[in-house]
Amino acid sequence: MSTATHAHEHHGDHGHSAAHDHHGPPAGITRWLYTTNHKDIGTMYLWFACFMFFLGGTMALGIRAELFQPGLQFFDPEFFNSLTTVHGLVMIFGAIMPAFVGFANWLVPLQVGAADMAFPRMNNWSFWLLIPAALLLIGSFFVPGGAAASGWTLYPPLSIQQGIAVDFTILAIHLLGASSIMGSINIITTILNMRAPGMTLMKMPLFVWTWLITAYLLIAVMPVLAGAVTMLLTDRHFGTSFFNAAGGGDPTMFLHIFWFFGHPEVYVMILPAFGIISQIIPAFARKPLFGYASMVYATASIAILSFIVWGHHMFTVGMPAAGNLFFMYATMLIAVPTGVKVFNWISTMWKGEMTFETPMLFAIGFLCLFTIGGFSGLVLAIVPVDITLHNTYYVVAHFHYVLVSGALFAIIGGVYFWLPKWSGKMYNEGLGKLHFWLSMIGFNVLFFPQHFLGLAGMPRRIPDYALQFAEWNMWSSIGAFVFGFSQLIFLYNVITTIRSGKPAQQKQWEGADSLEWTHLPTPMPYHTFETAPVIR
Amino acid sequence: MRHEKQGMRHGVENPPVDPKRRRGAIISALALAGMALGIYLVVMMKFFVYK
Repeated sequence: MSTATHAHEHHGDHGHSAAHDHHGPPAGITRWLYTTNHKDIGTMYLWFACFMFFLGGTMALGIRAELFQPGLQFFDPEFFNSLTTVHGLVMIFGAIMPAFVGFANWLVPLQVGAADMAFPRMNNWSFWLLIPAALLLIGSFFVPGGAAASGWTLYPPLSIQQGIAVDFTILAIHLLGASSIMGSINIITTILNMRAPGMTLMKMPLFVWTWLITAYLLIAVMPVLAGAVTMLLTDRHFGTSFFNAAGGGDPTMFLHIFWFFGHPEVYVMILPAFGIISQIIPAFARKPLFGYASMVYATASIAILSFIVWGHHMFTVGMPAAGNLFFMYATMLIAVPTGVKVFNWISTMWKGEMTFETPMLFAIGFLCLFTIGGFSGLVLAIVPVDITLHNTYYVVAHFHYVLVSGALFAIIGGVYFWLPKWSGKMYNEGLGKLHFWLSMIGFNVLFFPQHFLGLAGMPRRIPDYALQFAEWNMWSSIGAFVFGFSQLIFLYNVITTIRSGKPAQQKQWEGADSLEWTHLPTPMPYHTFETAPVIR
Repeated sequence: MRHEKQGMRHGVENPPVDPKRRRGAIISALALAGMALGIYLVVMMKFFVYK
């Protein structure tokens, strides 16, 4: 792909200089309320995700403060369970997913040479649906009985028995699902219908490819979650017993439906991260991405396989041996396309003229730590091992290696990578590197000991624990506070960059080769590619 | 016309889109929305086999 975009030529009238910026943004709050501009909406998604990240992070620090020592320190057990539940929901649906949609809004039109998303007004609606959903999730803490405490998976029978907060959560999930589906429709139609002349599918940057596949995944699985929580709602209020064993229902059926959504959802949160990393590494290795076509096929393979592995989340419910074996081998199969990706990223760096600015540091951090998370996933795919480790801290360590050092590191690396283009200003490289190293150290001190705790048998979602787990929990909590507070450096760096950063260059990164770097000035005009570029 | 006026008022005028592309985008969007709705209805079929 990179060689293809190197060959892009700028043909006279298709670029968009600042002088052509004849209609800039309106001033005031109406700009943000009514905007249909993909850059504005992308910015709002990213700030929303940032707010939710710090909110969910505060909950995580509450959890780790409680677990610093054995015994109950700050919270009663019910509130602790609410914290773990809402932390998960906020981070997944409020932080990681909206952040990637923010990237998609900013970058998909720019990277395919389109003026905007295909349906700008629906794009605005997709974003503003997030606000009532977030208010419902946060507001559920203040209703009688407290927030949902059944874990983010909302397993019955707990989720059937709890108070009105579960209804708040169900409504929030419906709104978030509608927002995701509309956003996905917009992304797919933009990519399939709005590409610039000559921008064939196999010339698209990897980020666009990964989002095209992710959007299909979202459209396929969000309605499944919506169906599951609708049935949960009728079980709670309308006398049905889909999942209520007391009425002849089957709680295990909820697990099957939920995880048919839930496992592809994991890839919804990691495929766009693969796309971001596939943009960053070639830029700083100053080489085209190794194996572009195989990267596309590997992404599609991962997405397809994600539909047939849901059973590995429920090995302990008592499936037939053939079912367990099928899900075990299918899960292990995902390591093949994922291995292709890791191999290609390393091969891209091989003999490259590497430099190590902050985005590249986060990309390398991603590569090392996500691979650890992938390997611990392989461990958990083995049925007898999983039966031992299920519901222990080993699982918590595994999915945080995938979703924090995977998805979140990619998001942070992506913000550092594109911030000069988005804002027209250059961030403070020293602060960026300090942020990276504190994050890297804090993250590993936080989550690596949780492998040991899980192997020793410490169950997840408990506010108190046996004395034997005390030492590693203390280290884990220290790591949590280092990691959590180091994110304030990131926030400070971004805000000071936007307010008073030094001007960035048009092509801030020498090896960056997608259209936003090669065809557009810095800072970017409010409207871009009103006349489509011609790609050769 | 009304939309154009609204767009001008809020300063959010959208660039003109080629009608062929617009038609393609609308057909794609309807197909995808139909797919989402269809999947939801398949899950909700459980209501009809509910005992």
